[in-house]
Amino acid sequence: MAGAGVEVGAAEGVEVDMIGVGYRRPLAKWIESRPTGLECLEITAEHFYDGGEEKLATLKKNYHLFVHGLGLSLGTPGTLDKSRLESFAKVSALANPDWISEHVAFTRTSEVDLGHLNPIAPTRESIKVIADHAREVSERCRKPIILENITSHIRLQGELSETDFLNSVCEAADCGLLVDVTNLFINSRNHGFDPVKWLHELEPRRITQLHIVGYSMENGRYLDGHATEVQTELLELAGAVIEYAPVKAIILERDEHFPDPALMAAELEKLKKIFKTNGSGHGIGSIAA
Amino acid sequence: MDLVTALGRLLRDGKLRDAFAAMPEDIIERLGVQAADRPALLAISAADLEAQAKVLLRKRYDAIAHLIPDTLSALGEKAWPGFQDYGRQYWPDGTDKEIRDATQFMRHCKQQYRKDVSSRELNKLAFLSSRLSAAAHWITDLQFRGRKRGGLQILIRRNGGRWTESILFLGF
Repeated sequence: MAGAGVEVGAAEGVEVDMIGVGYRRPLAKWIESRPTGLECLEITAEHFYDGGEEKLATLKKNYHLFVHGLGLSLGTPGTLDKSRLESFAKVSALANPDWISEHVAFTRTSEVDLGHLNPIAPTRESIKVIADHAREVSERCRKPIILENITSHIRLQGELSETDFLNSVCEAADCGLLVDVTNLFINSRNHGFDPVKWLHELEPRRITQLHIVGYSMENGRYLDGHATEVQTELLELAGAVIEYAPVKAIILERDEHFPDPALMAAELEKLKKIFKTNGSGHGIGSIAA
Repeated sequence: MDLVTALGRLLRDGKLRDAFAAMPEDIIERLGVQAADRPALLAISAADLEAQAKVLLRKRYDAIAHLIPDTLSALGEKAWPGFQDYGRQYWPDGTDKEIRDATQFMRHCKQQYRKDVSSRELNKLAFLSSRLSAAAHWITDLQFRGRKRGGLQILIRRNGGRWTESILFLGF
């Protein structure tokens, strides 16, 4: 991977088949109790920009960590925001993660900070922008980087299909992919395509990590609310990804409506079962659009 | 103008989205979008653009919710629709944008639904956006045990940007 001297999909020192959660404060007590089945944590870098070094040190002692970014805006043409990059690198240095990750998206333009992820047109020009920025982040942090597909109500047209675009970005940046299963499922439903066909157009060796969380619906649109239990069709799609690619870790995300620990543990257990069986026998036909 | 910048303008500005929905080619021309990016913008449906903008507005709403919980609670079902009306016309930027967003929304709510705005939260936001080391306010709409009552609100800034709020009142 870029700037780290390790192979794509085989980050140095990483044990395979890890299941974990995105670290959020409401889950802290449960996480600190070191529950069975919780093997790794994903830290959102922005949550630690203004402190929390001691907390990071404690988490690092007990878990494999990954550092995930929300606001580096890799898809914005021009230079990266140096201040944010330095803050991200500081968190990465403290957490010493197996890898770092960001999104194939823009959150900022030269005029405005939109505060959340927006899509990039699949063009050759965008490949260079994203790949150059991904390399820069990886080299600054001295860690392998993997890039995540986002969910968006807008599907921008370009010279390439989305999957060719992602493959080309990974090639140009020499990086891996973080497949957000929920984002893939939501996009497939909102934009009417087959998520398994989409998946099989990706280069499997690039797929390193998965995100998963339940979706919600409003006015006929599927939404990425990060607030519900993982639905069966998402577990089936996760199984299809694991069957197809050498996934190293799955992170269960939750940003709202945090369930009680028993439910979180049950969700982890479901993911573990899928992981350990390597997706064999999952009914992927039922998730086709 | 490149595609990212043009999309940013559309996503932050509700009136511009309305105009784009009615006359997309005119708006693309007015924005001066570079020729190579025009087909991608023209292919975006107005409904999809509005749905994406709503996602961004919801993130803003969630980000200010912890700053003005009493006001949002008092607004009840009007809170999120009210924020969407307000957010289509104003986009905060720069430092402390959550505080400024919450403050502007409170001002909007004060005009729209005068009785629902918490003066305690408005005072707190004014203090946070100031450089004052301390502030005190007499407030009359303090919610306690389901009743409104008067009380003294004291805000003090501590080292490292931390701050505390104390409320003093008499009675039970």
